[in-house]
Amino acid sequence: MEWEIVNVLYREITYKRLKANPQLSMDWNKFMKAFKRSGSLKRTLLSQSALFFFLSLTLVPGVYYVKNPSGSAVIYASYCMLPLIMALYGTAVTAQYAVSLGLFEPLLSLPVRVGGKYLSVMLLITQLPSVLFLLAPAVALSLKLGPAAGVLGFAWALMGTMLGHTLGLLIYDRFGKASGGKFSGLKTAFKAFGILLVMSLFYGLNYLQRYVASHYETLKGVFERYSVVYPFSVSTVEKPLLSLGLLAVYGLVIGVVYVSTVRRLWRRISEGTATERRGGKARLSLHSPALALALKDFKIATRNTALLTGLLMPVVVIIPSLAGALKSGSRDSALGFVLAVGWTSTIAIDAVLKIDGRAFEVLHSLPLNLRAFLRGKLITMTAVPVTAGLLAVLGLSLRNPSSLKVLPLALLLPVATAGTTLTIFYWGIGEVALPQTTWKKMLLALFANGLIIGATAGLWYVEWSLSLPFMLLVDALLLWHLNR
Amino acid sequence: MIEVEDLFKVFGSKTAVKGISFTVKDGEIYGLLGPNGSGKSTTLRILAGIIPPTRGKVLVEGVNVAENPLEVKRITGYIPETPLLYESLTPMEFFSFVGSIREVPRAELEERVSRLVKAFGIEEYLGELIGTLSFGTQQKVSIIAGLLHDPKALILDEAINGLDPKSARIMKELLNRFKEEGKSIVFSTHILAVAEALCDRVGIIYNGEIIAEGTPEQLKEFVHEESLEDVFLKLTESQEEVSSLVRALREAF
Ligand SMILES: Nc1ncnc2c1ncn2[C@@H]1O[C@H](COP(=O)(O)OP(=O)(O)O)[C@@H](O)[C@H]1O
Ligand SMILES: [Mg+2]
Repeated sequence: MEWEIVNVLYREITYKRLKANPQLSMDWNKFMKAFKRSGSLKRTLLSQSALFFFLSLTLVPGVYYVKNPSGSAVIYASYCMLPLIMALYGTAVTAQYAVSLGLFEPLLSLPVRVGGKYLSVMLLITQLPSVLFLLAPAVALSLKLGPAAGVLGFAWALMGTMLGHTLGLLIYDRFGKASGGKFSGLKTAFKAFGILLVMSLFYGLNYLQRYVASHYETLKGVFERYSVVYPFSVSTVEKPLLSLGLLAVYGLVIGVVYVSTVRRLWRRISEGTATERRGGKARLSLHSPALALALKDFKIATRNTALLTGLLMPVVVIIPSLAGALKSGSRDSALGFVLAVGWTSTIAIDAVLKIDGRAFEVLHSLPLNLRAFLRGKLITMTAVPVTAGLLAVLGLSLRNPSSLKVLPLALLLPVATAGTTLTIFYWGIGEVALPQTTWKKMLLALFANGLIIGATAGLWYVEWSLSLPFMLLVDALLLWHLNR
Repeated sequence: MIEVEDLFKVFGSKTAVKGISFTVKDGEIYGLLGPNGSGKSTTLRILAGIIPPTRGKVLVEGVNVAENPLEVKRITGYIPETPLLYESLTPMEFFSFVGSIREVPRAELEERVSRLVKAFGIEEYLGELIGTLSFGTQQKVSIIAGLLHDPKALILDEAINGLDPKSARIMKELLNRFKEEGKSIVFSTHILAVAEALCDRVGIIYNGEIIAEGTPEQLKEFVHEESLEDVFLKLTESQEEVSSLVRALREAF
């Protein structure tokens, strides 16, 4: 029965997602074909598992061909960042999306006890394939460090998924509602800042722990070389007993937080997404259609911390690299940050496509053409990376004025990567629509943006001023294409 | 003027609309009256340029719906059956959004919003998130949003059903004003009294076909029945069916 409910929910969310795509919903046969293809949970899981396992093969050399065995463990640990991020991101954004689609409304009036678990299980199951990304590296690890290390390593990857999932649920439960009030702008900024802070604290703990180690003689032996913070903790697989102990502690803590969160979750789901009053003054403000679309997106996203997290995530994951850049203060570090933000912001497309939710239908009754729509989405997609890039470059220029040379790139590169991403996601679509986020498209976009960024970086090192005309050319081409 | 000629709509194996034809003249209110599932919403969504027809010709103010749905959306106001709104925007923000997309001049928009908001009495909700509003208030927001650009043609899908008596009265008043201004208005309903009170002409739609058309009086005369309800039941031949269903229900409980 439980599995039945999860299956029904999964079918429903797929149905609604496909329905939001007029390309499909207008052509019944195409729609049914697509629905049969992705509406079956088992089938989707199988194909995704295969994809991730295939990808995981590419990670094997990194683990296997390292001279120092500790090196293998450390490299494997760094790969473990991936399941954490994917689960965290996927949970926070998709939970929000699923509830806003009204997915749970039929269940609300039924006597289900811990209803939140259905949301959790549905999300968790769809995220499990991403753990297979670490299967082949784990096998490589067991060849290097023994089978215990391999098994533990994979267990850590599962733990990472569970950790990300639990954090995602926590974020959704705490902040997954529309907020308002007189100081709503300020409040949201604080909330966003809070999320950033929590994320960086996570890394900060790592430093704190070193500090602890140097002060407590007794703990020194344990903490000297190993961190307790995931994913650094994964490198403990070299010492199976220690690793097992840490895993048990993680399991216990995550378990307690998970159970209490899932219990609370049902209330959040039944209340819906908008519960707080906004109040305050009401004024009309007119803008161009594209800007109006983007502003609408920002308003919705900033009132909804789960969506906001989705938009900010790409920047958050490279905060540690910003810390490194700040330390070194070289001009190249500013470049590195801008390139990295440009690349990781590709994944924000998922959040950008989910902002409208069920209300996407509104756009169908309005005289809106695809061009204006895509321009709007381009603004939504670039706002965060451009702001982050500009802030970082300006900040770094205080230490090293030559960082300012990167400034134009901080503006132009996100336009190029967002433009490429939109081009790929909207390939062959002739009207206002919300295409599905598939792994195929996502990887293709990441790959294409990788090429653009590689070329930009290459030109920069040949002669920095060359990267500018290149970037302008790419932007112009993409804007021309999207405006066709 | 709205002209519908031999309109078909097929969803996969289901034909929802089977060769409907009717005309709504300028300054006329035309009612599509029919039971649930008879194809009213489908027809109106085609008229509003939201979904394309499978076959047949639909002209709204001379613009072909199949060829230029965007232009049709520009000149029509469509009010859906269930309000579709961004729940995390406030009504004012939603009006700003719709006004921006429709490129309504600022002065006009301000004037219209303030008048409609006052007419429907939703001033106090303007700064609150739509998701927190009651269904009726959401419906009013949806109606106002459909009127912001002073559309030439109005398409209302069961838009009066959820309103309280006072707002329904205002809505009727509004429709009559629009009629005087020469707009063409189509609306659907399954409630006979609404159709009787508002429409210049009624088309009775059943199973995707218009089975009778005329003024409310003509229809009554035609079948010699007292109320439109009997006309309706007679035409859809479901009087028998209904009473047998009622019997079955009685037995079930
Ligand atoms: N998108 C769709 N796909 C398949 N069938 C549909 C779709 N939309 C409507 N229908 C079918 O078309 C018929 C008419 O529906 P509708 O126009 O909504 O009726 P009404 O508004 O008169 O209640 C119904 O039988 C309905 O099941
Ligand atoms: Mg209907």
